[in-house]
Amino acid sequence: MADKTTDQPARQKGNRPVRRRVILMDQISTYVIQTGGALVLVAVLGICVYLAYVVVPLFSSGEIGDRLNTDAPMRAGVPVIDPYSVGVAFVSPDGSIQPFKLASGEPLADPMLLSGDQTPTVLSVIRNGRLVAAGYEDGTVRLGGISYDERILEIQPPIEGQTSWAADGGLYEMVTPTRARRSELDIELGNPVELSEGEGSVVRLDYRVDPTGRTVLLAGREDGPVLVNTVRTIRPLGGGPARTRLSSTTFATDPESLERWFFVTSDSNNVLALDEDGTVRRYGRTDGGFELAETISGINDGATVTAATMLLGGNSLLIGDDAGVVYTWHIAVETDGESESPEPRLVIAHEFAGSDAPIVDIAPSMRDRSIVILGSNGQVRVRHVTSEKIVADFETGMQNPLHARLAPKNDGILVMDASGVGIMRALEPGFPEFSFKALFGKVHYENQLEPSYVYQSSSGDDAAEIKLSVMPLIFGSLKATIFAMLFAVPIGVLAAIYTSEFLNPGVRRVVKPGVEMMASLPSVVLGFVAAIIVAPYVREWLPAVLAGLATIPLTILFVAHVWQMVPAHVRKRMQAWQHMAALVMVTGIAVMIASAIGPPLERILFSPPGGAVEGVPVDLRRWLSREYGEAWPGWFVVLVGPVALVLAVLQSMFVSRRLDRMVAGRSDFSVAGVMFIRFVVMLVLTLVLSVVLAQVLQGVGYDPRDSIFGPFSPRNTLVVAMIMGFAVIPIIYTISDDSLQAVPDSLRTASLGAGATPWQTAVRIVIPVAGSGIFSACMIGFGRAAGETMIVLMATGNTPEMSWNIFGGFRTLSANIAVELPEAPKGSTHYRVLFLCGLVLFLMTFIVNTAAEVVRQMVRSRTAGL
Amino acid sequence: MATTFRKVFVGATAAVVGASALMASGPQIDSKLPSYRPVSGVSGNIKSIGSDTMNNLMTLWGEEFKGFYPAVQIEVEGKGSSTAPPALIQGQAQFGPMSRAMKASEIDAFEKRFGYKPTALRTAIDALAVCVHKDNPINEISIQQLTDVFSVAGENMTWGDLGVRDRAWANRPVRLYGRNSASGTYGYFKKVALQGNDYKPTVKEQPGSSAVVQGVGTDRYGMGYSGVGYATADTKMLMVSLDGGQAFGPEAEYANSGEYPLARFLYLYINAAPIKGLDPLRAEFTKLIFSQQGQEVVLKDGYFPVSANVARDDLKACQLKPTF
Repeated sequence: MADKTTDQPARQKGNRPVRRRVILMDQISTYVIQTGGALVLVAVLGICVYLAYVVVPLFSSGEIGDRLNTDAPMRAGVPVIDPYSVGVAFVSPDGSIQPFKLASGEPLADPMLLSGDQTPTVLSVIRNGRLVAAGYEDGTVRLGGISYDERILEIQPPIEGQTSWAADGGLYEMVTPTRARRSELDIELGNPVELSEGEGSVVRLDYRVDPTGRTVLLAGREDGPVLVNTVRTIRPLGGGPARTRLSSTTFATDPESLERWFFVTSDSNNVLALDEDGTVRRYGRTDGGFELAETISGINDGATVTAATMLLGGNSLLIGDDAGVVYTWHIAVETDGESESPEPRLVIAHEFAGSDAPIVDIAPSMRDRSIVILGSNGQVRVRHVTSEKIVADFETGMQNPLHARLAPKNDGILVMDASGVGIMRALEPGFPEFSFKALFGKVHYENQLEPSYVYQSSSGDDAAEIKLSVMPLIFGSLKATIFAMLFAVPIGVLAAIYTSEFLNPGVRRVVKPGVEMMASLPSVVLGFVAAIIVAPYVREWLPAVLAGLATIPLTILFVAHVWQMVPAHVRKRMQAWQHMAALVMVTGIAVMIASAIGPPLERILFSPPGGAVEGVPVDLRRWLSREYGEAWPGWFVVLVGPVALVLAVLQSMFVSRRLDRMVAGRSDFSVAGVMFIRFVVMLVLTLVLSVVLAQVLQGVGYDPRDSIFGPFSPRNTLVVAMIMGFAVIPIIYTISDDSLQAVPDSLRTASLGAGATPWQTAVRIVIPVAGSGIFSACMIGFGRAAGETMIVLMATGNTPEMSWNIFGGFRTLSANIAVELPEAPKGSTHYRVLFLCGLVLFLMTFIVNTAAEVVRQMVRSRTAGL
Repeated sequence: MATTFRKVFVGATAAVVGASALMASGPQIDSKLPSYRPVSGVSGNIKSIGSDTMNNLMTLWGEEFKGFYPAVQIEVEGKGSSTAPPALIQGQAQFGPMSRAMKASEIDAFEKRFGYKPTALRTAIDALAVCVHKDNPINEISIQQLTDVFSVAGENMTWGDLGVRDRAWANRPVRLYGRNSASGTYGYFKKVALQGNDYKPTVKEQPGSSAVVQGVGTDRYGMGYSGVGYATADTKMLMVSLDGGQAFGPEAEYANSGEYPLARFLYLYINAAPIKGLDPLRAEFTKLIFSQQGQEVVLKDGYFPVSANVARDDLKACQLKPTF
């Protein structure tokens, strides 16, 4: 330790002076060690600072950049921004469209009709024009979209000073000194399809495409029912024409209520209609067509709806009112299995207050769950719906704002007023998905009934909601560590006490390095063993494994008691190594007993009520998944251990002394006999008390299958606890053993000399003195287990769930980093959140280790005088 | 960790490859595809980072390529499709195999760096298989059932809920195996089979397709998904139906026709600069993939070859002139 070497060498006065060289060497080594220590501190601090450096930007909000265009008026209509934010096209209600160059406001082409010659009666432009549906007078509908055709062209020779220009209907933008990208508006509308039911022109239209590529179209004619069509297009991968499969469902209810705003959800099972007074009607799909399922009020009393749209993904309804509040609603289904027929219902997920100005427009982002909100006072706010973070905020100063749109790549905001003047500002969204609340708090995610902690960081498409709660990961780390410590601490500490206090030093010299060798096993090997060997074994022999947890200590105790009855001269002849061998043998026998009594115990405790069903074997795993059975056997299994411990402590406090006095002076054999009787009584008492307590808990209504037990998964916490326990035992053992050895022998000899037995000496003298060391051994073991990666990575399913189920899985912070870092693009939110996981892990182990050190110092200063 | 797993299962997978090659007598390579002829002046290193599903495929193409150009070094790393875009953007790899199409946000990041979009080559067709233990009596499943089983939109389900009457299964909960989130298979399955819903948190995330198949093969009550090329004798592949229609098995015929609902392309993404095109090394590798030999490798690995039309379009997309 550093503090020992920094002590000045003792100068012995009067004797020979210490040689110069020694003093010099001493000073050099002091210097080297001090520098080394300081460097370690700097390195640790450096890591911490680096982690923080990557994490801190997450907390910043986005930035609004320069204005990218001039005041030249363009055109009124719904804006459709091109992918590079250089062009914009406006779609008018009459079905005409005209593209402009955004920066200068110059038109790129004359206005043209979306569909050749016909003027639509109703037009629906969704997702920045990616989806366009047009309905016509003759009752036909055409579906399609607006896209941009782009090409990279060689420009030779390069045009001096020109970086972007408009020519022959397209927009050119230099991307390298000699190359330009040309993009041109491309309108594609499919063939007209006549709506089969009703008369007159098409008056209602809404259009969605779900993640699987299925088209959902809501359409209705002047006289006739509203139809919801789903079109599945099957494109042969081998080439050839695509085939479509159409299914159509009519509206059973009066379609008149689909008036002001109406949306079909992308799962095609619900239609939402919204009135100005905030009434939301949900029409659900039934066998007979769409029927009114519920009517709710979507906004606060007294307010009026002024804007509404669907969020990216098409499953959340956004409503804005004249008080400047934005609400998001989605449909959630009860999936607990408690209710007989799960009925979907509308649930409010978020409510955002803004400035008091009425909301003029809300538009979703095309990339993530951000929305842009435009107030009538010209204020623009970009918000991320999931994290509720305000991404950016700015004032346009517009008198009469009409539309706000996010650029397709989330890198710009366009605000248009009624006169066709627009303001385009660059946007640097930063890390919209991240907020403190999204990370540590419960968040109300789409299609969920209530807020929850969920970690699901990636998905196959951009419309999916990213869920970044680190709580399940912190929980997983704690769960793994706690269960591993339940294994490792008793075994490690007891083994240290045994080898240090009771074992012949010669044997100890072999055992200790042997245990330390265990630490040299790479954890990846342990993880591998856990996944490939231990997990299938535990699954196959689950009752035996659980029984073994009881039979091993019991058998050893039993044999110890019997051994005491053997005459002393026989006992004393036994060598230390023979002791060890006998212990190993006894353990082996205990394992055999466990595998023998495991299955019968399973039958006794975990049979279905009324006995086993013919042909279906009794299986603990079925009890675990709540197929049958009462709660108390589970409680019994859980309680046996703690009850035994509590009884043992009570016994030593109240009974032990009296018993000692009672047997004082008797022969060895009768003393041993009394002790044996005590053991049996305690055993019976433990079993009875556990059953009684278990029955009481069941009577109160608790079931262990809600908490500590649950459905069995082959890659479970029990396996990890055993293997990770195995990995931590060497550390706990070695440090505990060292601290026990550090107890001065004078204490032991004094105790033994005063007539105490080795056991009394160990329990009452040595362990209390070495307590601080043993405690810090456990804490260092805790730190090691918390940071362990490979074992948990390989031996669990890495399922980020939040339950204490010992037969279920979990995902730790460390395993999460290992699993996800390769897929996280550098600098992204995901990447930084992984660093944040690292920081949290660092802080967790840092706090535990510091606490351990503080406690150790406190205890040590108390026992320093010894 | 993925590598360690793979090393153990490599034997198993190799056996499977043989087996499925025998089974797959149906799919034929498009005769219009040319036979590959080596050219001179090809050297250098090929590095591929991306899909685990395509790991074997890339390795086999690499071996084929090395047969023509022994001096070329080939390195294949497969931890999941989501690792491909970062690797292509940072220039760590020339090839990014992906078992799903790139997300718009990934294309954005690429475009921000290079000024043009990455090029997708549709190199093979995979029928993503839903597999169960070989003794399980279930034979088919619908997309809606898959959504209920795997996603949070459904309750925890037993085999009985899926229509299994056998008493040994009916009351047992379905134990779910899936891929890690970096995987394109994970993303694709989420999008198509889960209809965009989130996975249940109890779906065990395995580091590779072979680990999923191994998990299901040793768990009588397990269900998982993997590329069709990974199926083993311990597992059974289910027929899948869509919108209440007929169920189809993961076979070449139904994958090609698009009737098998979980059929998809396996993509190889490259950074092909417009006008300039590819350097000889990558150009030759691409040509090899779209040749008789390259598509034979696809068959050998248990996937289905692409048609000459697809090959022609994709060669044109990276400024190569198809000769067929």
